[in-house]
Amino acid sequence: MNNVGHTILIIGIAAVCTIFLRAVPFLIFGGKRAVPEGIRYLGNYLPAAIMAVLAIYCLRNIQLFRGNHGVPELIATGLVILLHSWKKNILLTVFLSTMCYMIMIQFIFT
Amino acid sequence: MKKGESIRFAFQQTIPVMLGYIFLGMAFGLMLHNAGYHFLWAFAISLCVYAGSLQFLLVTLLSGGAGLLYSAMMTFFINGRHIFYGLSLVEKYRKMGKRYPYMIFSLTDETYSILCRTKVPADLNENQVMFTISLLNHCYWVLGSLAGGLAGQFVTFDTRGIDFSMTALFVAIMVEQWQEKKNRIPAMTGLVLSFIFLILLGSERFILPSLTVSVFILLCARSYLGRPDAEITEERQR
Repeated sequence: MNNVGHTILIIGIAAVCTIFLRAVPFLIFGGKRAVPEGIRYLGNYLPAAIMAVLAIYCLRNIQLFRGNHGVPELIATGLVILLHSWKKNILLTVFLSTMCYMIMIQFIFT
Repeated sequence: MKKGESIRFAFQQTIPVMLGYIFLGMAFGLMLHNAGYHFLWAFAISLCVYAGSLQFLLVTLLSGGAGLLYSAMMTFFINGRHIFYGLSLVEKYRKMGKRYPYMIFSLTDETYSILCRTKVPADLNENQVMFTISLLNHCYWVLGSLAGGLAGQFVTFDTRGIDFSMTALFVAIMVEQWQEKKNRIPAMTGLVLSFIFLILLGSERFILPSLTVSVFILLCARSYLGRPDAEITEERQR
């Protein structure tokens, strides 16, 4: 039973810490007062920087100098860029590039 | 007030996340099942914690009987990036009344990305759309985890590589943002800083410094980027 209690505690801590992190900006700027100009400005310009960091975050474990040298990741990411610049259809882009990546790592670069 | 239309529009926006969330949720459910946990644990964790990469680590933490302080530290370390998401949503979210707490709770990487790219048509209810997007994504994740915990061992086709759908989502949104001139300097800032910190600090530690310094640089560039006429001239150029 002690084990169940410990499990619940760990899950609770993970849940509370996660929601706290997500809530920080709202705790600071979410009140009734007007949102500071600097935050408005960031709201406009920060998302593009965040998305760039997130994209690199997803690709962070590529092994450029070992294994398959990150070829499947680089090809699939290149496909995303080309396909999305051309067709601008996010479903098509996500679906095709993921299929392509799965085929590459399961059958070609095994 | 066009509730049905708003919900349908929101559903369409979530489709790129749907498959990824269902299959990654399943992978999580299966992993927890293989570690010897009842499927209800997977359900409870996905419902209450709702954070992709942290949940995969939780499997290790739980089965290894990790300490509470260590679990808290790992959560702050892995999910620290979430602090930055709210900055661009404060104004929109605080108008959302009783849905406000749920909107904050459900702000994952993918939900944030979808909310950033979604331009709600003027005749739809924006609050309804944003709420439905958040709720649907959460449902996909919870249902996937439940299915993985219950029946994950019966999935016979090879799902290796399906996690690339999340990478594809972020890169595609980057491409979309790049079309708008105002986003180019911020995007380059994020990219260059990520590369610098990736080389300096390694793959597990680069994200928080990259985001923090991005905020700092963008704030410093405010007089250049944020000058009122900059956006207007760009509108005209397009």
